[in-house]
Amino acid sequence: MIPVSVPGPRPLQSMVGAEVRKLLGLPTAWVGLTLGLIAAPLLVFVNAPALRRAIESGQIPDVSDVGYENLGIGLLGALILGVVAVSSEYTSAGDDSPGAHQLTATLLAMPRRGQMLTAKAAALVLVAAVQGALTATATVLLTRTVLPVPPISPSRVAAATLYWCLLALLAYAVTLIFRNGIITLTVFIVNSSVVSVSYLLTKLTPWAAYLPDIVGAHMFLRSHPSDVAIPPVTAGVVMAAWVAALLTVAAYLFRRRPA
Amino acid sequence: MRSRGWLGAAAGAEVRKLVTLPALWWTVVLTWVATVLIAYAAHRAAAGDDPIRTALRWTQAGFLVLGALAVTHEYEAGGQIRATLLAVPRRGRVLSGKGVAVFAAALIAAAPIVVAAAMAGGDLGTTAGTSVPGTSLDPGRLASLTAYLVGVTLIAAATGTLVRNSLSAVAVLLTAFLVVAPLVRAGRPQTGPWLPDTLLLAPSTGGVALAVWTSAAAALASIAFSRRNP
Repeated sequence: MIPVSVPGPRPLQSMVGAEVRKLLGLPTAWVGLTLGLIAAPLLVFVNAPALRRAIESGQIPDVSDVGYENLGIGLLGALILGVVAVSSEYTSAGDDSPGAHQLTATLLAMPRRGQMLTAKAAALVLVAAVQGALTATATVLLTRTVLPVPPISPSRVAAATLYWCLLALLAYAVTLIFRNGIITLTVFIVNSSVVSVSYLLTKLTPWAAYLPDIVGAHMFLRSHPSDVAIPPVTAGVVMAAWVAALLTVAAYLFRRRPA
Repeated sequence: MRSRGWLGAAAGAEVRKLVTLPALWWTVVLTWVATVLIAYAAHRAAAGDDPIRTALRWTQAGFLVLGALAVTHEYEAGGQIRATLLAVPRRGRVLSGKGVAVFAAALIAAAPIVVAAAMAGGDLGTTAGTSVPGTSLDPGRLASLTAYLVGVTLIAAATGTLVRNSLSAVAVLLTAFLVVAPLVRAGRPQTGPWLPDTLLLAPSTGGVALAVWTSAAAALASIAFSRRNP
């Protein structure tokens, strides 16, 4: 009789590898990656004339922020990654079997739901970190070639990359909770428009400055329209706490709900 | 058999389809709630401005989602669009019926918002960059607001017809209206009269741009819908 080797528990590493391959196999994820990578550097050129006038007339409170403010549009890439990582699992397998979706196969291969969610989150963070680091570096370097701004600060680029990863995880958690990408996209894109809704809400209560998306920006921006100064480390901790809380809710629901 | 003309029956069927979609009701109700909340915040932030118009800079997202979902639900798993075309094989007729239904849905969704704008008043001050005098019940302003909301819903429906996927359509529309258009306006102010959302910010200009964008989107959608495999 031929000895049959029974596979043991799947190591997390190979699960993360599988999730990275699945994520990078999605055409929509590549739209997010490309958009995130191109949009922010492109915006540097679009905004350059207006920004140069503003700098020369002294309207900008902190010139070192200029390179980082254009990053907002690139964050849409992180958002799309976080959404499609989940929504692709819930997309119907085909017209002949509208009830079947990829998640069933995923859970057959990785039955431990907590592990599967962890692997997916790790894969998402890996991809978002690479995209964030590349985009932030390219945008800030490019800004320096067209505008008189201070040189690149590695700690700020690292903070922006962290924001990138946390935003992707936030989108991931919210999409897991609602099992619908449209809600996540609407909430986050509406809030990433030129003046965010969260900023308006700070007029109602100063606590709105601690909503996850605005507080996170304090990690790498020094001047804020809301005039609430939050130190970068506090900002990072608060945003990470939001992400952890939402991920906990998402994981709880994911383990209890039928796939 | 009742005869309701070339368009009547198709439009009636499309209206019934839209009315029975829970996702659309959710979109409309959430849009109303969000508009009131943000208008209240906007009023607290700058009391002189028209709070409803300020709020709609963000909550127009609801109308974009409404228009997109009204079309893309046909392309969800199960391929309802093929049943639709089996029932009404003339593609022009299907699309016109859908257009009428989306138009009606947008009017219903816009009605309470326009009434609220009439009651709230306020001038257009900082939103338009220039102060535009006028009383809150100025019919021209209310008409332009209604036209804007119906127009963007139709643009969204046309985009949904082109993209045929709810998530992609919503992503494209929201990025275009809430991220790209404001950025282009901030970077190149002279493009203002040509952007699709100018009518919301400055009712005196932007009407032509909205009409052009809406007709172009509708034309592209009808060409694509009549030439592609469903």
